[in-house]
Amino acid sequence: MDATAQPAPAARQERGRFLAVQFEDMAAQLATGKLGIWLFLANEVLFFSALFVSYGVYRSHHPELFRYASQFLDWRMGATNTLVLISSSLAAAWSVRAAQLGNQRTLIRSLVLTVVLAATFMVVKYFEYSHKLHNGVGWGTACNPSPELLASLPAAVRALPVPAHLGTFFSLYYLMTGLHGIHVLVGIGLYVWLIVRARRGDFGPGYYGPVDAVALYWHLVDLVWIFLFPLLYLI
Amino acid sequence: MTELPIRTLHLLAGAGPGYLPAQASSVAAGVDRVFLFLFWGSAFFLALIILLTIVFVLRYRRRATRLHPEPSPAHSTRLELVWTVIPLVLVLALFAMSTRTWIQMTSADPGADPVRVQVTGRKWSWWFDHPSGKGANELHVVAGRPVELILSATDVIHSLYVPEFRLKQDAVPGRFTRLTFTPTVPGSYPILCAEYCGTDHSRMLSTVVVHADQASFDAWSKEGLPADATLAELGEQVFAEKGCAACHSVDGTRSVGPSVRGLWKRHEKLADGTTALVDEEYLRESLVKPGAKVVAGYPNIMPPMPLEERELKAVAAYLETLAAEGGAPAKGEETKR
Amino acid sequence: MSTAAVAVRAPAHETESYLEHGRGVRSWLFTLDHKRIGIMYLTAISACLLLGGVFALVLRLHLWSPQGALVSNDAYNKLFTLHGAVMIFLFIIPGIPAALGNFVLPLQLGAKDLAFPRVNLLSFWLFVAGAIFFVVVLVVGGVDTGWTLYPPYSLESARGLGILLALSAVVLTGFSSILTGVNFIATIHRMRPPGMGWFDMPLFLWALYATGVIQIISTPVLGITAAMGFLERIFHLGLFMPEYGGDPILFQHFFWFYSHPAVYIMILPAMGVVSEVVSVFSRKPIFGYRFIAVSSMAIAIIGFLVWGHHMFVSGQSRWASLAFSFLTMLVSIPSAIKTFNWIATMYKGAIVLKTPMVYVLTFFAIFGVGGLTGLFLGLLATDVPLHDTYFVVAHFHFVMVGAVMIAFLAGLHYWWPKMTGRMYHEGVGVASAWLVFLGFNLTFVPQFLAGVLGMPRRYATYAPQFTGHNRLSTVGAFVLALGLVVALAGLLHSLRRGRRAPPNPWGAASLEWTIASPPTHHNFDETPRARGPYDYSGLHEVSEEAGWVREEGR
Repeated sequence: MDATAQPAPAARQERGRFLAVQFEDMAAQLATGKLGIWLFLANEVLFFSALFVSYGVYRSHHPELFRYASQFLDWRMGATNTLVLISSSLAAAWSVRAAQLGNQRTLIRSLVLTVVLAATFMVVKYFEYSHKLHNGVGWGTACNPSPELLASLPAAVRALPVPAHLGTFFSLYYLMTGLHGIHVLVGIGLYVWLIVRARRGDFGPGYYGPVDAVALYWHLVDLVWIFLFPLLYLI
Repeated sequence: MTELPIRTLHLLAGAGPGYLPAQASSVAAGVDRVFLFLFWGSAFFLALIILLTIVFVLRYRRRATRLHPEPSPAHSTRLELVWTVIPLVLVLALFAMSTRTWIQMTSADPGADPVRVQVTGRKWSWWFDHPSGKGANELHVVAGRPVELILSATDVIHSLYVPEFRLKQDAVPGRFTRLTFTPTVPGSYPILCAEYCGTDHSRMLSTVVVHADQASFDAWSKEGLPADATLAELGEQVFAEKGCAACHSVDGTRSVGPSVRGLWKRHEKLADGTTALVDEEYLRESLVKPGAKVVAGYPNIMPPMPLEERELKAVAAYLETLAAEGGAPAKGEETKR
Repeated sequence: MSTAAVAVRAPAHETESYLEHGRGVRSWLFTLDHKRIGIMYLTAISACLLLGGVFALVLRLHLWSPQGALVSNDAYNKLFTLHGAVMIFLFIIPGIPAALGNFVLPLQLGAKDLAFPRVNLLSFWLFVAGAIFFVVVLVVGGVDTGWTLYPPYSLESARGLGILLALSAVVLTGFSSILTGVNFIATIHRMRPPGMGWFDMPLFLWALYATGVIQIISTPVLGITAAMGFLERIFHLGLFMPEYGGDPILFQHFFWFYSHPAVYIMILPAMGVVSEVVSVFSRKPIFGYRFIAVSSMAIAIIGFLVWGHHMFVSGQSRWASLAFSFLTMLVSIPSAIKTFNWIATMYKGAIVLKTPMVYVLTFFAIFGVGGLTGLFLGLLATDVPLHDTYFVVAHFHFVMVGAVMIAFLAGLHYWWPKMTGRMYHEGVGVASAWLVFLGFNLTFVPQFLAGVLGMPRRYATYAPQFTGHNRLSTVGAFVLALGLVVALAGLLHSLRRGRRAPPNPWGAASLEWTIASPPTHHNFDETPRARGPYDYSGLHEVSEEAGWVREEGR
């Protein structure tokens, strides 16, 4: 154990700005970070899973309730948001590639595009939520649809009796889309942070871990929505 | 305290069934068979573990003359498979044995038309509606006749547990659960609540009475107050049967809810700051919608307890007698109708 | 640092220990050093153990007489709820992984730190926030729902602020646990040193790995369930409350989907500690390394599929009950394998009866009882009468308090010299081990007997026939408490008066014993080359003071 083994101050500087002390080199750091994100995503999937299971249980107990209540959702809004979110996922994937290639302009543009599309998603969500809440469609016991809203339903649906515990469907609706919406907001925050760092010139072929990690997270958020859309809107 | 070591020895000496509660249902013996088989199997393996530990520690302790371990294999797949497969076979055998018994425990006797009793759990008493139409706060069944209990709960989850029957079933609000059994030995056995349900969980006790024959059951079923019973006497009976006393004392002591002594025609201060006169109207409302007017200083936890009109009048009459004893002028002539 | 310790080490680049590296409160509270975070965890969970223990003693005093000797029924219900919640969420679950694991894991890997030091610090502070919430619950009047939080009872309108705070605390400690799991798995995957393949890892790391898998997969379900309960209580969502169209049984499924695997979050690291200690103090490689390693993973995986055995009398489908009972029988097998392998490790060994080993010997008996009585509760026929009785209480205390706490104490004494650089007093340590063993059995064996006779759990008052059982149990609880106080006093005393610890006081072969006690800030000057974690050849004892030294080439 002599000079060769000692990480001299000079050697430390060679390690690069973003290499943490516990790692040997950037490749090890990148691989570890990526594994960490995948593990976190596994946890995220399980986080949503209880809501999906609740959905399955209540839908099998009360199929009529789900048929009826989904009429309150506008599938056109949902479909728009699906397209918006898929596009933003594409922009996110693009940003990773740009970082790997060291293309600063494309990187920043694709990051900004991701944020813009994510914000668009939230704006559409806002209109959906406010329309429902305005018409008395809250969750749980707070679900008392206004007569105007009931009158606007298709005639075949209007003929049906209003099922008991209509609010349970909307509890699930608000919980699932709400938790997803919180994830979108967190994603917007993360992308703003990435834009700041990208403008500082932090990322390049040697260091793009954070861009990669946030994109993975963003794809999961997208994926969750791809399940939510048919389950809630297209019954 | 002194009997415990004796009982423990008793158990260890092999007189297992003597330690377990009495067997009073058709499945109790089967359950005990599984229990004792598992008990002795476990005792054997535990003894083996402890014995080997002690022997090895004594035999292979590190001393000045024995500083290093003796050569021995670091693994032995054959040996390890032995202690994988033997426990596996044993637990599978146990599973088969237990499942056979459990199927008996959960199915009504084939061919026998069971007596159906509706059971309601609520804080903190049980109510049993027998097929004869008689409701009671204790369960009455006949030895040898299969019984099916349909359980539900009005407020929170409770669990009906009879140790002597080796049976237990949760009563869950919003759904019905089932428990079937055939009592075998006449006598009275305690019913306990086994699912935690709040303040008086440990006092949510009842009794199951196993009648020796149908005649004895019928006699109980017809038994009631004589036709000339006063309304107040009937009220006292309703008060006891519905389990009101679990929360409302009749002697003035403070319990979960206000005591009913001296309550009648009193102006009670309510949780919202207003006052209410305790009369028939208040009583009716409090039984149907207990949360409407809660007396200040008490939690809003009473379950709804709708009574029949005559029962309601009877309870009102009964409360009036308690008010009278509490000092208000007696109005004996009015309670006798 | 003693001269002996220096003599066996090559001249070091860094000589000041992690305890001296950086001074002042801030250098601890915001440290990224896994060792300091481990020590902070250790301090925090010990405080929680103390709090939960005081609750337990009050409970036991109350049960001295059948009508209740001390407090009202309501107060009793709050006490047992907080006893359970504090012990489970704040002591047993983080106990071995977050406190001992945090300290030991990177050292056993020859690493400078965990993969994500900031995440580690965040995990600690989430834990502290959760603990503070539980204390606030106490201040606002407590909760009386039981730690199982079953609705409808737990979400009735009568439960106020307390239940909301408790559910928030569950979410916070849950996230703390998840982050620890992510960190441990990533570190074990990616930061093993050259020469350490999967089957060359110390078994403690296998145990932490399996624990991490459970933490990541099951804890989020608890988190979202607690969040759903929180919103149900405020907004009446109609998910768990039958009053609004919800299903209380669904809550039970979600709850046990976490809380049964949580038992393995507790016991797997304990088994890891036992594997380390039994090998080192028998001076022999662990018997059947692969079977033990694989059985940890088997427990983690099958453990996910047995939650329904908590619901045999809830009214769930009979087919579900059958399947859960069957799978529960299977999960007992890996535990049996481990037990026999540990005992076979002692065969022909050179057994040294130091404190950690004495604790582990008592572990064998207690874990034996805990595991075997689990069979009674996994079998349908015997579970029906025993469910929710004191038999269950005694069983899970044998597993969670007996086995896990005793393994925690074994690990604490084992790694104490490494953590603090001081040797504790052997006599005191061994005495504490026997007191804990005696007190523990005196407390919980009578509870088995009461349970078999049909005494339900969570009873503030009980039938007079159980007076004897309960009084024995109360006496036992105080003996157990005395044992813990002796252990604590011995350890704390060593901080000032203890002999300086050599790098390798026990003659262990894993990497943490190749560096100074206590280690330097960055643990290893260079990434070491790993050798077999149980390869004791070439190690010999220089003296009590200098510990064991490896002579290369011998």
